[in-house]
Amino acid sequence: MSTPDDLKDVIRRANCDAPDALRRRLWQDVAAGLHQSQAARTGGSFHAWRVVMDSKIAKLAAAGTAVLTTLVLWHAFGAASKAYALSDVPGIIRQARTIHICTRTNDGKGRWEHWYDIENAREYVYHEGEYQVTFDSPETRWRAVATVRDGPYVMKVDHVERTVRFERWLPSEQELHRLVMADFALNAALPDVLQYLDRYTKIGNGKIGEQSYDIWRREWKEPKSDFGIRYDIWVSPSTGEIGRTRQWINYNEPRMGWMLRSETDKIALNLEPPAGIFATEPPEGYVAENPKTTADVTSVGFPASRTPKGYALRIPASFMIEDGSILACWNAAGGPPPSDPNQAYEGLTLGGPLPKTSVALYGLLSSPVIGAERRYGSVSFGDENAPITIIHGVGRHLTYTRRAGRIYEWALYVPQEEIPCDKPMKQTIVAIKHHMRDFDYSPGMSIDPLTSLVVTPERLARYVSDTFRELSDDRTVPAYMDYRSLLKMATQIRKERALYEAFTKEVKETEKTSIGSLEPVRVTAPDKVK
Amino acid sequence: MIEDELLKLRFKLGCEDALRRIYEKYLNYLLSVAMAFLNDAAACEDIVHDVFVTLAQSAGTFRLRGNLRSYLATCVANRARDRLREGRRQADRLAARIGPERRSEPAEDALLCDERTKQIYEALTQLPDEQRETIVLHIKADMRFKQIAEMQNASYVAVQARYRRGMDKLRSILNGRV
Repeated sequence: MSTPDDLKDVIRRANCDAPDALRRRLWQDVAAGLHQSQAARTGGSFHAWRVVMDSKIAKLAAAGTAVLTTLVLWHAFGAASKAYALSDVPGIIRQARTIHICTRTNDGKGRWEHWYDIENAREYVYHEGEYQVTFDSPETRWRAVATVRDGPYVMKVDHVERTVRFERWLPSEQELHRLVMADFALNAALPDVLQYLDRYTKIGNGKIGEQSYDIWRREWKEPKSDFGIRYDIWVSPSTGEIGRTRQWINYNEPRMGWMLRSETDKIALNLEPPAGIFATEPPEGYVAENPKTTADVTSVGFPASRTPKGYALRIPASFMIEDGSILACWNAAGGPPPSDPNQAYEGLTLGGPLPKTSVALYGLLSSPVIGAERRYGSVSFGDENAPITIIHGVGRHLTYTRRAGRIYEWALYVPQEEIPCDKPMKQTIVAIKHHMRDFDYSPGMSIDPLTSLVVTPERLARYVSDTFRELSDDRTVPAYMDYRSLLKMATQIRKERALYEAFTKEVKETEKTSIGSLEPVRVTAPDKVK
Repeated sequence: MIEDELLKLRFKLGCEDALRRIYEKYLNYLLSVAMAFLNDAAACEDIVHDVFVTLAQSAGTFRLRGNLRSYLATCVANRARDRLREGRRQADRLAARIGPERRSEPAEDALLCDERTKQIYEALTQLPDEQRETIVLHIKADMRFKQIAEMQNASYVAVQARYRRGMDKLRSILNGRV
């Protein structure tokens, strides 16, 4: 019993069995309780009748009639007649204690397994399949990887190399993880339902075994290509269970038609996860590539954004304050080291431009539709039929900290208009600037989604202090990084129109190419479904 | 989960089958939660019996928006906590009252626990009440620390500390035994 998880599992599995005799004995009282309750209710409603029918035979007849009536009503109007629609499914999944999802590609070369323990914010994701060796290489290799997330630790397991690598999360990101777990699970189960629920149409029904399912479908065309994508979700109208989901692709070649790409054949709720599946200790015979307790700090809200040359932007912590401004702590990692790592940070001033690191969190491209019901869409940021409104946010330097040879930039990102903070966390899009001409690669700018905790003054103070403790050698939080000072600074920055005009000009091309406008939805009419 | 939602609905309409299914599905689980608290088979049977009878009597008026399993576990936990707080004197009186009756029951009626489970329950009883309660509520009844803090009228940090200290102590008690 070496780890807390082992002991926890032992306690969880310490169960006793009620023998049949005990079951029967207890049940007699329970059933009697039910009958008493039914009799009391019937008596309350039909008091005069009870007086008239005060005989055993009459009571039996009345009870029989009541049962019969209940049964008839049950079948006619009861829950049995409730037809579950796809719109009921997110609610059902969100209430689950645990979620188990299995997906495979149609060619059999890829497989995913997810376990989500929502209540304890633990996660296990396994994937096996063929990967390209590098971004631009036709060569592939087989990989089998798992990621386990529990508390502050993230363990990435490579089952081919038999190695593990650890990452850590700060307390603020652990809090964020608790908030987004259910949506992560929902997104893994039904990739675009959160974003596009209203785009699905019931197009028919089918059977898996003896169970009947309604088939809900959404089709759309990938932007800037002729590829058609189709999602089918099989929902049991009687229980709301998902029988399967299927993803299809159509390369717009008449002879090929729609081809099945992947299928999720298991979405099971409230199963007991296998013992030790969330353990963040290396499996026996596996080598840990880095120590667990001092592992790199990464984040939930922003999985490291990597470029083809290996540069990565990390955002270990980000906090949104009441006007929608974001205080973010980030660092540029990976890639060939610059000749002078300090150079980018020389001459920086409070409220001035950001450092020109190899990759930099440069600004915000916030949209009001993001972070509401349209979070974590796997397809794109936009809604095909909605006008895209982007609110630009500029980034200004606050300070930087050093820890273990790394430099962390702290900056304030201020949207031109205030963004309501009506949720515990908000998603936005960040513009990432690449200053890598020195290294023979310069994509200019790219975008990625960032989820930030919405904080109160007290929580901001606590989380910033936590972050400084981990990511700063001297651990002293500057006085101007308190909530009120940041709000005041944001108000001043928002008045500097020239900053926003320059940013708008700079991101124009990226917006056009990376966000663009999606094609309107195409949905197969029910009468066209074969 | 989906089955539970249907069961709740059918039970609310007075369906005995639904109650039977809930009973069959959760009897062992609730007995285990109670045993982790009290390690007293007779008292646990009483508690679980009372929870199910109360549930049965609420048919027709039953309203539950949340998770059925958690709700039942919380009912058992509340009653078990009450038992714990009655103290030794009360427990002795209870044992004296129900003792002869239980002894006269046939052996086939006794709750079945394997040796390992018995050791866990035994070790849990050696913890201070608050630590045991926190561990059982968190692990067996699947309650979050925040909920436990509200239930115990304690701070979140205090509850986490109780849990951590309790687990450490439990680990040392059980070291090498299970």
